[in-house]
Amino acid sequence: MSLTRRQLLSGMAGAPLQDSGPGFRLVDVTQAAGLEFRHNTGAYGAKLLPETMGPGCAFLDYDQDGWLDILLINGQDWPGHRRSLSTMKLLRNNRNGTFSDVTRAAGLDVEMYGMGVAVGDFDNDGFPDLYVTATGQSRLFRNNGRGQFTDVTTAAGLGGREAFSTSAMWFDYDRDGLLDLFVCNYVRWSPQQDVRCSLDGRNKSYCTPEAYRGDTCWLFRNRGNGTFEDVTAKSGIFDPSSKSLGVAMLDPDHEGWPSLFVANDTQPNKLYRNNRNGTFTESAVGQGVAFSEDGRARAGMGVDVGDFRRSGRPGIVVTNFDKEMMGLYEQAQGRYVDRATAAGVGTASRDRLGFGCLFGDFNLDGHLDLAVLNGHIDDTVRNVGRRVSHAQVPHLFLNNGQGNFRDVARDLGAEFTSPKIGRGLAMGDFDRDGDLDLLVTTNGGAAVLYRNDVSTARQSLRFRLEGRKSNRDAIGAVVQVFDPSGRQTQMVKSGSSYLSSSDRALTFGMGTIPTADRVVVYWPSGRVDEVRALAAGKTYHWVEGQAARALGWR
Amino acid sequence: MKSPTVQLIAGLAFTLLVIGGHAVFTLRSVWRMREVQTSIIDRNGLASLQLIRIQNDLNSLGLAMRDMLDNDSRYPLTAWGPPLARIRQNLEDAIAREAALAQGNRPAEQTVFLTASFADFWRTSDEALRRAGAGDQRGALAMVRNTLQPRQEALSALTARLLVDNHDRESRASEQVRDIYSEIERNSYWVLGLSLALILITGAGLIRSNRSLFAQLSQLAEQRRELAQQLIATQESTLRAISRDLHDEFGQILTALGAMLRRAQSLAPDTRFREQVQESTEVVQGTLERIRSLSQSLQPVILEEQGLAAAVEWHLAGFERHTGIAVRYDGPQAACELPAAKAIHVYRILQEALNNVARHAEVNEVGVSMQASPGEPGLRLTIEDHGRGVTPASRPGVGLAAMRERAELIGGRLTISPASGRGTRVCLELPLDPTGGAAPALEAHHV
Repeated sequence: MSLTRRQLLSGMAGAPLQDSGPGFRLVDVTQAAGLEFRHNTGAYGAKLLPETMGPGCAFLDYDQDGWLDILLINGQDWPGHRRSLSTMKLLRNNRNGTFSDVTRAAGLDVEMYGMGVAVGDFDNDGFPDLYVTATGQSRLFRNNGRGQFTDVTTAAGLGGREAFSTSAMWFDYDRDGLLDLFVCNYVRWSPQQDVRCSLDGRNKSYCTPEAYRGDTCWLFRNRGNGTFEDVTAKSGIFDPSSKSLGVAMLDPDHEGWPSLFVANDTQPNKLYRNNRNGTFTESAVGQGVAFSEDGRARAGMGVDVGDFRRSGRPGIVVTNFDKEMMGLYEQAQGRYVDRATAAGVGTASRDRLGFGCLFGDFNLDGHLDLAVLNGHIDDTVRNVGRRVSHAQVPHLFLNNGQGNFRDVARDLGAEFTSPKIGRGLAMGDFDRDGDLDLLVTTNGGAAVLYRNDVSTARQSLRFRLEGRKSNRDAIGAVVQVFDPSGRQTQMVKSGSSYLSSSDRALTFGMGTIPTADRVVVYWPSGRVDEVRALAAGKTYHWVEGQAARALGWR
Repeated sequence: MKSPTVQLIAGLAFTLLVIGGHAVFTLRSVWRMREVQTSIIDRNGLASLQLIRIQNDLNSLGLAMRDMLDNDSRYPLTAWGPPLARIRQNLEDAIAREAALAQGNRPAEQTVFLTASFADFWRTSDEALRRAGAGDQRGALAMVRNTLQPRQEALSALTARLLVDNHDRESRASEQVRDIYSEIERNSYWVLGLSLALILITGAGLIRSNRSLFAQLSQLAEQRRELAQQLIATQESTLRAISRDLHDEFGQILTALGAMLRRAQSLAPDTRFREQVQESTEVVQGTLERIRSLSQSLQPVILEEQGLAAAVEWHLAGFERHTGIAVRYDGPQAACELPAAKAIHVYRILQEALNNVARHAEVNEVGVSMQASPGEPGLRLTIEDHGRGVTPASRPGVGLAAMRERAELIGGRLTISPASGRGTRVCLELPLDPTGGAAPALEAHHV
């Protein structure tokens, strides 16, 4: 009797050799959950650049009751064209599949032209704070732990900055146990500077960023006293040629020092390597991630990092414009190579304009899959290109276990494949059934909540880490799970995707393997914790330096 | 008659010479072209790419300096250190690569100027950043505005001019390649024309000599045929003359001798003498019969008197008798009378064929069939045995050739083929002239 290698591997991963189906469905529960939201772009016909870019969204547990709440970012009417009041929305999880609007009670009914959000506990008080980016002044909201947020922008030293800010990220680049803040800025734009562009030669359309000057990203160091120091120049991040939309943290060489990948629109992407002394060295060109394989700067939008090949060396996904394909960079001989076409995501994404993107094990088979939201920036696009439409179908690429992907969006139900003008994408387990649900925002449209219903007997192993010496959110911690099928590696992250913030709990698919042999946590402080024989099917609360404690679910 | 071989060899040699010459010329042209392609066009193209990269970097520098001079920036000039260093690193890489590619294509003073200008630019920018770091923001900005910006513009202009130079050089090289192409084209036309002419001349000579060869051949064949037919005719007339002489002269003499002997017998007194005369009479009678028979076989009178069918039957009976080979004869249903001049040849063919059977076939039975119908195929005479057959080794003798000549002489067709099973089948087909008035060719040849 002989087994093929493939049979052996899938047998070890506990996946029955079966199903042509994806093993899960994404059910639209927006109505049932009571998510009433419509993104206000403020558009009144002048086609101003920011209108087409937002909004972002977040899964967060703002009240720390163990159930994920939802934050949806919103724009507003342009000055001189006021029609109604529109603010972001905070929706509290009622623990029964429904949500309640608590925006006003939480003090977040603030009018601003919001773009994205980064969720992070910058004051280490155990409650997540918010940095909401905007066209204009972005804002820092401190969570007071009693269900309310306070705008501390000015007090924190982040005021007086008008910019077209997009994605933002909390991370501890100097490993002092305090979350620092990285903010992407897109282009230098104001309603007065708006340029007239046209796709079809008659109607005004939204410009590509080539029409505008770039702007530098910002890096703010957390002083630990509630204020931040602008270290953009000092750290070597300063670069006014960039037109940045997405940011992700990564640690390609397992040094424990987080580096940065910044996706730039029509400009070379940037890879800032952490020099471990508070500065960064930009090396995207040499590392092979600045351009496409044919040497062109593409329109980078969203970005995520994940060890989808289970090699221990994370790959990078970048969503781009239509006719450019996504970039899927993998490390090979000390530099990165774009393997999008070979890995099966290139051709599929050629006619789509991608935004939010996330690696996640959606079918819990132990291999990271890839969700991508698509949608064009301009509704006049159909006048010029027949293959490209304004609203577009999302991708859900299933990992075949060898790091190659197949788009199974069509098999996930009509609700998921309905075309949309997708932008923000976040993931988290809002119904606490152990799998990853998806939160989606659309430009000028509704937010959509997709509940993941895994139809197989597969289970997951989930971790909610809490740092002690490390930053309390444990952002930057790396968890490795060992089981008979091999090793899985994930990092607790902020940033990634596009304008959005996912739950920072980690979800490892275990297939039908009941117990992980060994789980190791590499904390940002340098501490390494390890436990053996951890049962799957549970979420564990793991405090730095203490034993993992099962929270359980269901 | 001249042999065409020399002409052929000469034509071939000239053609090979032309093609060989052309090959050498073409190869040399291709080498030249490759030289132009690799040493000028390709290298130039790569150098141009590097120049574009330099221009791009200079453009980035220009944008950076514009941003430096914009006083809305919240960051000090020193913040430009890392971005400028990145541009510089890229620039220096591009300059080094471009210099390596442009080697020899550029006047030395231009290279020196370029290197010096860049060195000067970076010295100044370092100085500006140093001043900014020391707090002299205004002085640094003045350096950017008054020194760096003009220098950057000058460098941009120089790079643009180098690009134009490269483009010109490339155009000239392309022209060279075009010239080589048209040379090859011209040469190819010449070679084509020459080869065609040579082939035409050689071909025409070949055709001419071929034609005269064939004419000679057919003349020879005609002569040979005439000779053969004359031979046959001579043979026939000789045989006839002998036959007639035998029959007429010796026949009459012997008849007279017989009559005299009979008279002498009646006069003889003695019984014993009478018996002697009787014996002599019988000898004379026998000789007479043999002479008649010989005369008959040399020139069967029966043919002239009773026609072909009767002559055939007579001959077959004789053949059976003499050889002991049984003959299955299938005679004609209709009359098939031929003029005697033709019939003698049919008869002789039958005779020869049967002779061959008797001599070679080693059989005791032979089938003969003679069918006649007016028009095509007319008369068909078939002699078929199941004997040893015609083996590839058996050489066609004079007999066979004579048979063919005879068939041809009377306008018939003779085929000799293996019989079904084994053995030999000789078949003569002869169209019958419905008027029966075909002029016998034979009489004309009587000697």
